[in-house]
Amino acid sequence: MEQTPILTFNKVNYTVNNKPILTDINLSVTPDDFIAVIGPNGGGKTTLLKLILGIIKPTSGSIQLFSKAPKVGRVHVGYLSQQFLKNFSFPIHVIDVVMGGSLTPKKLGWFSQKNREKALHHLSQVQLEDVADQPIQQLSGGQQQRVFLARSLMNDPKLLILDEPTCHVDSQSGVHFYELLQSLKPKMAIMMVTHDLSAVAKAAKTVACLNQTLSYHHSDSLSKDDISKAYCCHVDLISHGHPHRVLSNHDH
Amino acid sequence: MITNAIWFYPLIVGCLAAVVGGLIGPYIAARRLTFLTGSLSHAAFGGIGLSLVFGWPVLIGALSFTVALSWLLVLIEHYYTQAKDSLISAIWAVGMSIGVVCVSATNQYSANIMSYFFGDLLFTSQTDVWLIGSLAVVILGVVTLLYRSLQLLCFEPEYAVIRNLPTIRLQLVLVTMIAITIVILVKVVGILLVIALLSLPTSTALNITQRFRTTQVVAIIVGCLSVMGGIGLSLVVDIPTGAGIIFCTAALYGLSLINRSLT
Repeated sequence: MEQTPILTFNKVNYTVNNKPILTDINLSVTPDDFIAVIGPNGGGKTTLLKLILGIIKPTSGSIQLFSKAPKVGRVHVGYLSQQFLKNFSFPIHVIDVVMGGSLTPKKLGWFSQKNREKALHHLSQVQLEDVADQPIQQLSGGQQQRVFLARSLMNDPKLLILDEPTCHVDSQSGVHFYELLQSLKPKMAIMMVTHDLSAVAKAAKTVACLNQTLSYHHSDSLSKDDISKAYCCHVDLISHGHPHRVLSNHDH
Repeated sequence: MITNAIWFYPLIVGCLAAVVGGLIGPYIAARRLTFLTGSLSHAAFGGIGLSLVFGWPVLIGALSFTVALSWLLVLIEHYYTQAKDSLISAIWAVGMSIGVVCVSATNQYSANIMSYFFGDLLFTSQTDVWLIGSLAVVILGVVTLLYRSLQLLCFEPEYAVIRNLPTIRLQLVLVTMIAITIVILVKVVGILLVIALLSLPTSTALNITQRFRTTQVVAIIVGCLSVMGGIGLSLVVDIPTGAGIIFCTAALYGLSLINRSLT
């Protein structure tokens, strides 16, 4: 049976000062998807996420998130943003960061004991309950990303969006992070923007390639043509083998 | 009686100012609003000048003018993001200029005007205590009620947007509290020294602690100690109280730096 999409892009265009950033984007995400979006720098990956989250509006076309406008539908989204958007000079402890994920327009003040227990539960999910009362600045990059993953689970999301989650993270921490994502996969759809192509091969169910236009065929591999077109150059082997592939098998 | 002592009301108002400065200073540091704070504190002179021309109570006139400018800054910044620094500079200069024109019109170039630049804590009245006390209670209430939201706004504003928090209204609340704090501190240390009393206790606290609430508490303690020390200095060695307070704040900041380098 065909599943109802939770996110749809219908002929979406986005331009800045008449310069096209995204052109004719069509996309459909279902509740059990795990999509990795790859593409070169400046290809529009973060812009795509900003459109999904309703931070910016499309120049033309329509976006539906949980059958609503993105600004309304985003209450069901868990979001892990890029590290540089956070103010690490701000003195804040891990537990306070995680509990921030339960703030809503109607709940702007203090947290209840229930919020704290939920935050500790999600911290234990990412194996960081021991550092709950430490300043976030004292954690490694990999640990910080797991804290932000715990925060993004606080609103019980149906769609988890990750923007470069393993950027500035060492490879061992990256592997650990993708293992955590695998454990979340049955509970929510996941959409991840990344440069880490080996991780795409390990973690994602489907892969899309974005460079102003989107190549996405709801499959676990992209053709070499798609990749080369997106990166505007020839791309050599990235990863082969099961369970998932980024590129399809060579003909020879 | 202790209430008749020359230092009694100044001490109360100085400590109230230290409380609001300690509560708001860490937000200014976290949101990197020091330039905006400098701009608003100087622009407050425009409100003082208008009050002198129209015969309004100076505290109320300065407060209304500074709050209005702070709202203007937030709203213009929201709709025209690229103009931020120029706008802050413009408000700084235009506010001061309005003050200069008004003071010139009232022919009040005197020690009275100098008190707005360097503070006049030792001339604090009982009315000042009640007015500044009420404002301090308002700030304490708002900061307590919106503690978590303001924390998220400072740590990651974009995430606050995605959680559908009313970020513009929260920013308006924050700059309103900054404007109120500035006007209270003008009474204590004067326009030219406000920025020091808002930033140094917070910087001292940040050298000691890494939790936001503790930062606020330590900044309040540092502010109160500085006020006590400053009043003491001004009574014992006869220097202006505002400058004495700043010397004490700077000394405590220096000690915190030494402590940090030793630990």
